[in-house]
Amino acid sequence: MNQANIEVKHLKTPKTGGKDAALFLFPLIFLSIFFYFPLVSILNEGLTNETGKLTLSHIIRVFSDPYSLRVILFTVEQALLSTAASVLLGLPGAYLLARHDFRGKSIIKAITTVPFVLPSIIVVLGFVIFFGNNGVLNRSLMAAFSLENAPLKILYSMKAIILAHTFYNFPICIRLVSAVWSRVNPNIEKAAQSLGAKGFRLFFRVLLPQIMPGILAAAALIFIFCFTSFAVILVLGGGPKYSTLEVAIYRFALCTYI
Amino acid sequence: MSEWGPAGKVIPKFEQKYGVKVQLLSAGDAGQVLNRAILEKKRPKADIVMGIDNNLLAKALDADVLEPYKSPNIYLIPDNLIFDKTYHVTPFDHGYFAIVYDSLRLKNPPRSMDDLLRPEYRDKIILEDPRTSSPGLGFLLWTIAVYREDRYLEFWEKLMPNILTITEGWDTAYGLFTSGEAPMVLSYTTSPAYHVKYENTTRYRAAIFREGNYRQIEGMGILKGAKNRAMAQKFLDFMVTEDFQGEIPLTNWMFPVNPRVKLPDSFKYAPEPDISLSLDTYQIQRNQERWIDGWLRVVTR
Repeated sequence: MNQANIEVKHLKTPKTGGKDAALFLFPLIFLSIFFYFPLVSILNEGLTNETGKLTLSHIIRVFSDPYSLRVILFTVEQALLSTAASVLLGLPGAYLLARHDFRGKSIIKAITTVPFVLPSIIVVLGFVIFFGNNGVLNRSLMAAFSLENAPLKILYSMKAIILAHTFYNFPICIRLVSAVWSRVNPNIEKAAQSLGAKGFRLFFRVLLPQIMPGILAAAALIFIFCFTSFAVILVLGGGPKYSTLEVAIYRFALCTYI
Repeated sequence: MSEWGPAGKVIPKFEQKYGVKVQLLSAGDAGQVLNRAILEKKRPKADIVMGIDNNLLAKALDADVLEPYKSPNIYLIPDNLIFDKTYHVTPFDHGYFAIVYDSLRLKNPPRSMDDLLRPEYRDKIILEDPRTSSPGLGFLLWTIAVYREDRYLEFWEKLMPNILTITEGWDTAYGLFTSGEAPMVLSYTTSPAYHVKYENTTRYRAAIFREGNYRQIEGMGILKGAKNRAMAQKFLDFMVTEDFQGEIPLTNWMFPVNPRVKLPDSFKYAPEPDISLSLDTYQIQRNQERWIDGWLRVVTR
């Protein structure tokens, strides 16, 4: 056993020649110049005062400013809600794709990749065209019930943000969770059923622990996407009241540096 | 400023007249242009900076980035438009902020600032953020000019239910307005003229308010350390003549500062208010941050 381990290790670490080091150096230099250097210089600005001494005063100021705090809290809040809604909406889809064969399955699978390639500003425009006060939905309702004003106020609010994020991200949940779900052995559920587990108990005690890695991976990814969301917040959010960190930073940069 | 409206027409005229090449550098909207001039103070890339308005003047003067120049042609501009008596900035156009409304969807348009508070206007107004947009800042200053410092926040508090959304810039706000999201938007009194000229419709109108409309006068100035100072002066001289000013209405959608220019027909739909409001530029410079902080507290409540 020990012998085998040592051998494996030996195999994994061949002598590093100069060529390999050079290969490693290339991406490292690239990353340093184009990523770490700008990142460190902006962090440096946040952590030093005018004379170049290290200070926490900027950070303390941000965290004691009610507006900044509000922005930070709102960012986390909307990201959590959007993630929860996306996962809940994605799970049934994941189940269908993992456990059932039907016509058009491959098309649906292909559609779930759309959020990865669709620019978010397109989603925003689509929302205005469909859910807007003068959008398809409101106009048909106004025509159907001969109303004067748009009956559904959906955009420019917290619900618009959650709705757009959910629409944008639930396919990610479908995709990641169905991949894990399809590898779950159905015989385990059958065994549990034969021992008397059913309904919620079967789902929460037997199935959920097995698909949990997929759910967590999807939730983490969706949370990050929503946390740094930009166009959706900018247009559908409805102004300063619903600003996220990303938007607040953009606004500040726009006024100060550009 | 490669996409600046009148450029395509007036720059070639100037180039031909003096046999020089004019290069336009773009830096975004007026506030961003001034910020860039301040950042490049020691070694300016440009000779002239365009777009410094009556709200930004104090900031430009305090930053000391401009060289004064009194053009011999300044007599062409009426005195009340010369907003910088130290001649660091020479005006080139002016206009008035206004609530522009869709007359097909709004039968009972507002006639005063107070009217904007009517309950029937719930969710019907689109505004711009004063931190990122110059019409947005103009409207905030307008409310201060009307209600004074002690009552403007009270007005904003009551206005909140009627605001559909506050956008970062004018483009988004106006786009949402023309796509029918709301029947009122903060823009300029000249906006309806654009629809008359290019869409042949008078459906969009600008509301003139009883208290007056807030005025914006835009100017340009010669930068300190400009490499081509003599030519820059010639450009300012040329700028106030009819050759240049005549192109302002239909390309920049503002009023020319030279009253000899005959306005195009479409400008019949660009009303000029009887009362024009503005605040003292130094008062703005001193208080702007505090005013915006107060505003922010109200709109995020």
